[in-house]
Amino acid sequence: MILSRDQLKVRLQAICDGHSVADQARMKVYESDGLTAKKQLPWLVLLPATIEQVQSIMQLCHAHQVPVVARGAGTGLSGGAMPHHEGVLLSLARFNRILEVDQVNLLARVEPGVTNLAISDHVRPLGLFYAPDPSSQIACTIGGNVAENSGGVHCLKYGLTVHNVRKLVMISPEGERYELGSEAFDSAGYDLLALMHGSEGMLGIVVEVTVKLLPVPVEVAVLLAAFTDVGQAAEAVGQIIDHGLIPAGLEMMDKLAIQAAEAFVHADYPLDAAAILICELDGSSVEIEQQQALLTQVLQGAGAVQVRCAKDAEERRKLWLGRKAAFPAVGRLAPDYYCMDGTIPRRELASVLRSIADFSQIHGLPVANVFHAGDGNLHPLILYDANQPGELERAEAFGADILRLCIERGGTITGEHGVGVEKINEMCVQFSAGELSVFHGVKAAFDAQGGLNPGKAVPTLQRCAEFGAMHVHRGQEKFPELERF
Amino acid sequence: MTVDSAIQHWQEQIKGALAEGKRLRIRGAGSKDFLGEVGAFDEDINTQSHQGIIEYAPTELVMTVRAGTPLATVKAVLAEQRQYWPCDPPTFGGAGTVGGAIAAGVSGPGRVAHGAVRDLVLGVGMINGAGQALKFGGQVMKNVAGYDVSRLMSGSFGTLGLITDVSFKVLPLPEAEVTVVRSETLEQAHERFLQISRLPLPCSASAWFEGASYLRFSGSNAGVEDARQTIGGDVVIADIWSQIRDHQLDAFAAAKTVWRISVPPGSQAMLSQCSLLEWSGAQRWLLDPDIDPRSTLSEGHATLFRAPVTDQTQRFQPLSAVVGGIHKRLKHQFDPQGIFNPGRLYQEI
Repeated sequence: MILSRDQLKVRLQAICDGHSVADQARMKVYESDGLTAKKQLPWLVLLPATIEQVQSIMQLCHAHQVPVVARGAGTGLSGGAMPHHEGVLLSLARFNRILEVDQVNLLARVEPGVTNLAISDHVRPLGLFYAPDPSSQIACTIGGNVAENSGGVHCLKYGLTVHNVRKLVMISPEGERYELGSEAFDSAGYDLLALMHGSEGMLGIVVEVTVKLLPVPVEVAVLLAAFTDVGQAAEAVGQIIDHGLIPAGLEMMDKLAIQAAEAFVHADYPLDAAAILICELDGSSVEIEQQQALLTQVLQGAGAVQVRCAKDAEERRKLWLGRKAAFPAVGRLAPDYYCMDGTIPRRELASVLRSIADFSQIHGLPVANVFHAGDGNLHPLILYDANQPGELERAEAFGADILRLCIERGGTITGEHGVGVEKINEMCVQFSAGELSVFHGVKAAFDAQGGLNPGKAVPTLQRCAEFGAMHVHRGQEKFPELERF
Repeated sequence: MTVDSAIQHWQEQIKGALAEGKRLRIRGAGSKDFLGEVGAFDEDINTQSHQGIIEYAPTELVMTVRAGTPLATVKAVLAEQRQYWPCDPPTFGGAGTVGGAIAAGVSGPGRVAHGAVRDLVLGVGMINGAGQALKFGGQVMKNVAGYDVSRLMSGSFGTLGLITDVSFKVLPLPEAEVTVVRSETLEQAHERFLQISRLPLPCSASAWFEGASYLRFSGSNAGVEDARQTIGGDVVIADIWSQIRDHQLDAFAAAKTVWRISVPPGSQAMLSQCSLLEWSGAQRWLLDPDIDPRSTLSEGHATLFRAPVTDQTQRFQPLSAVVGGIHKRLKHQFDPQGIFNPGRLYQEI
């Protein structure tokens, strides 16, 4: 039976036993995710707590062609969880239980609304941890981590979310329950488990996640190296790897980011440095001792003016705190900031940094740079004031310049934050019409009606034709088969 | 043939096949012809002449190669720079190409420490069933622009398209490596493997067969020495791991049917029947079992890895209805006319 919109609303609210939000004022909380520049009120917010409730919601929404946008903690930075004005915003916040820890197979079965950090906190007494640790780990949820294939400061050694998740329980847009992956190391058929990672809520609703746990390393050492030249710091990264070292974490911050972090959390960073590298080693005691000596030698050889090793757990915590709090710290320097997420081959780091400094001059906006240096993943934070006419537009133009530069240098527009609504135009630059058509094909294979998170992650060819006239992709005119606007 | 002309040549062949309704078998060195269903095909697309390393900068930890490049070449070039591809795919009969390794998605003993083939794939160039040359992923470690089509290609047995080139992550060769052996029963070895996986030791491979367990530790000199002392056992000099990886153990040579059982490491399933236990217990090999292992398997999945062509048993574990449906729709999107390796993975795709 087809219901009117009002009848449908009543029915959907009943499914969630009243755990829903429908009035405009209270729905404001859900109007954006971490990308606050993009706002939209949904038609209805639903907060189910059981898999059966999610199935019922999906069945009804599918039958009535109501869009559904899934949301975890809303910490995403690309607008992936921005609501649809005619759709349901499906909050998975009440799916917040750790269901099972399997100490034999080293797995944790959790609900998608469990925070990233809660998993490691829960299993630490058992001598175990969950490796991916995005900077927002205190708040971001594991379901969101799957949707964005989140990394973090330790993924150089331990991999991304896709490398650390064994199994997902999914609900299809039609409300069917199915499983991808298993407690074994692999599964029969196509690797749909991998495909689901980074799919930004476009292919299905994650209702349960089984993650891999690792034994906590015996010893950890954290080193800080200060450089008077950003280029030298960038070169040092390549040299560390050239010496066969794969640190557990390898992060870089530039002067503005250092100063902001220092003012915010007093991490004892050298304020006169042009750049710092924070480098973590883990392993057995003897191993750490040897690697630390080699690492210090490499860093000094690369021109570090200071190399300091944290003496104890407290000092290690402080060194990491400055890095993990870099975003909010930079946020204190200006009313607004715009965080980019391009990834480049590591060898391009120094020259891309110089170009970003040039762009900063051209657009007249300061930029603080924080990088996952080991992975070549850049997070330039562009400072602006949305209340000043034209500044948001300038910040966006600056960001678009950085993304195009990343593509030119053989990289990608997003390493871990996702495309969402934010980088949808740049997708037209990175991919050809044929490639985008394959993405639409993948979407159609999972969600034929297109009800899941519509308008995100993959641009329509029409949109690219409008936007893409400005760009030349791999020396060819874009979308010659489409009419020009 | 230049690179572009090779791709153009294949595009022509694919367009011809589309026009004439022909089905194509994608084939590299043919080292895994035995793996999977026979499928149905009218002619071959051969990738073996499409060889060569396109890009390799050791400090980037990334290598990009043409699909027909032999695994042996990749290994040798990486070794010159003291690096390796840790998923260590098998080279049955000494052969095998990178494209084939990706398409089959079969990993070697090192999978436990640094991941499977799919974990290390960063990007692919491919030709889809409409004959379009496309690129997905890239040469960087982190990339979430668009769906992860490159990882999807891993283990797809050529049913979604022709892989033309691949970028994958590599790692520095460990400073030290040691293998220790101990005589013990399968049950003892299984229990010990599970215990060791709970310890922060640099264990990079584990195996039990013919009454002895083997453990490999890889890493820094100090870390490996620590582990050797902690775990004990006699040091093995011979390269036991490539024999295990390539199924060169005597028992495999004599076997008619080889089953691969993939289960959670701690599972008791098929434990007592297995001839080779690997991956801390997660990979089990059964030789000539009396009954179809799937009839009693309640977790994981079973692959009939090698069998006489006359054996009609389905090679791969059947899929659930919902997941099977997704497979069919994905196949249709990538290869609408079903020209690539039809039936090689499952009848319906």
